[in-house]
Amino acid sequence: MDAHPRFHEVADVCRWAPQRTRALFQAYLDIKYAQLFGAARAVLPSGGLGLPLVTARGARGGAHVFVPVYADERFGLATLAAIQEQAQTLGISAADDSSSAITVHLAIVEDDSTVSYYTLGDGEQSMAAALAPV
Amino acid sequence: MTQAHWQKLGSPVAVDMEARPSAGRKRTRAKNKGHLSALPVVQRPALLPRIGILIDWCRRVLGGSRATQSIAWLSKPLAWLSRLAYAVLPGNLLWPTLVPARVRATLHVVRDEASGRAVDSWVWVRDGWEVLWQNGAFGKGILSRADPTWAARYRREKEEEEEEERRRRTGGVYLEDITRQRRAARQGTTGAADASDSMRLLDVAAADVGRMEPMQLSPLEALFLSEIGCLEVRGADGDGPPLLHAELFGVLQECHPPGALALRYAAYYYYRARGWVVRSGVKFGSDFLLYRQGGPARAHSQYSVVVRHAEAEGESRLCASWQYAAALSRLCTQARKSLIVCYVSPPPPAAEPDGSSNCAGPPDLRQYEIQEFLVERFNPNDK
Repeated sequence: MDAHPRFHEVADVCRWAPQRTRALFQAYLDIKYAQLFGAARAVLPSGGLGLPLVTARGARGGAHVFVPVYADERFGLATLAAIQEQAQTLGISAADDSSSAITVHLAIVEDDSTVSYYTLGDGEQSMAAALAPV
Repeated sequence: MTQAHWQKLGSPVAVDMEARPSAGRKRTRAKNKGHLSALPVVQRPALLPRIGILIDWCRRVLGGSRATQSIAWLSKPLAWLSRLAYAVLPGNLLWPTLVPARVRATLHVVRDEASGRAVDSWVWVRDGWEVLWQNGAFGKGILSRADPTWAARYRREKEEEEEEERRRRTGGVYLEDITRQRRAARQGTTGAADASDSMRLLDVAAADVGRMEPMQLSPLEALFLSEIGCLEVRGADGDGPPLLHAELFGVLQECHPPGALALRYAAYYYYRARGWVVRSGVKFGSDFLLYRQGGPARAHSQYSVVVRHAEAEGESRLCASWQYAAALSRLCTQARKSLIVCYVSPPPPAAEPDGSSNCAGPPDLRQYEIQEFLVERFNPNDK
């Protein structure tokens, strides 16, 4: 990866989590240079999560927090909860203003560099919003 | 490929290309019925068989006319020539995916600092990827959906931006340009490029544009191309001697659970040997997607393949659960694909003198067996 001209943008974070280098760098490249999200940056959240994240800003100012993971990886509930918690903190700093929506996505990286995105939401809030009277 | 490689694969057996399952939703003889197939081995040089096929076609078309007599005499010496070429010339494994060159690639490995064990790896091709893409749709650009096109798109956007700037400076702005800008302002987007066309906002040095997007080969593609002699893999710096196929397999295997890479590689080899273009199926919840010759650039895939380890008789499960099978089948149906469950039966690991099992080294694919099942939803209302 260090043979790539843009690796230096994530090198600091990769140094702390070298086993996640490929997932982080390929997700970061895809988010910033292929999907064209603005203000993309890689961060290593505090709190012992150990998973580097990528924050970015959407076209409408909302914050997007991406969790680069491998296709054959498994998470427990505690990890998912920690991801949601850290994402809220990071997303506020990435958004244009504190009232912007923060969305958490899984960026699933395959071994041929394919990246698939899935949104993680709070099921209770989503269902309540769907049932709310128009 | 050398003569030694041909001997390793064993006696050559022509692959029956007509044994491919027919397209899409058509019912085949193999529907709902697994068929046991041994992995195919070498099929011989492409040119002579193609000439033979052409002659046979001419004979069928021309019928019993006098022209066929002049063509018929070609077939006998052609048969002898084929046998001679078969015995003498270096073999090409798969004539439908013949890669007419040996391409250089670099292997990048991330190692655990404590143990030195490889924890992740990937293979990049910077030069010669066009050969791999055009002859079997191997690889994927890391910033594109298929072959690497990021640099070309970026340069095109920059040229358009420079052209617009030049027109603004020289006064060559047209009414349509003004209309487009006013429409963008009414829709709430700024006058500058929004996220949908902000390649112009990317600040990439001109010297780096060509290096932004190498082609990445999956471990299975790298192993396959290495085995048929079309890929030369070196270290990350590109220097040093090329890795042997066994060395490449050893490094890639360290990054996977024991036996998992060999299992998927056997299935990959099986479908590639039958002329399918095999791509990742992660977006459809499966292991592979099968495309006809020409790859994803020509048409959508027809089959979605899930690879499973064939366990002892009576213990193999079609899927993790029938609910999972139903979900996967529904997903494939929505995407207009047929679901294939591919069971791979590996040989038992060779026992070492001390009683431990030896899983090192590339697998001997001649000892693997494949069994396929086509799974489709049946609607009783359509009886």
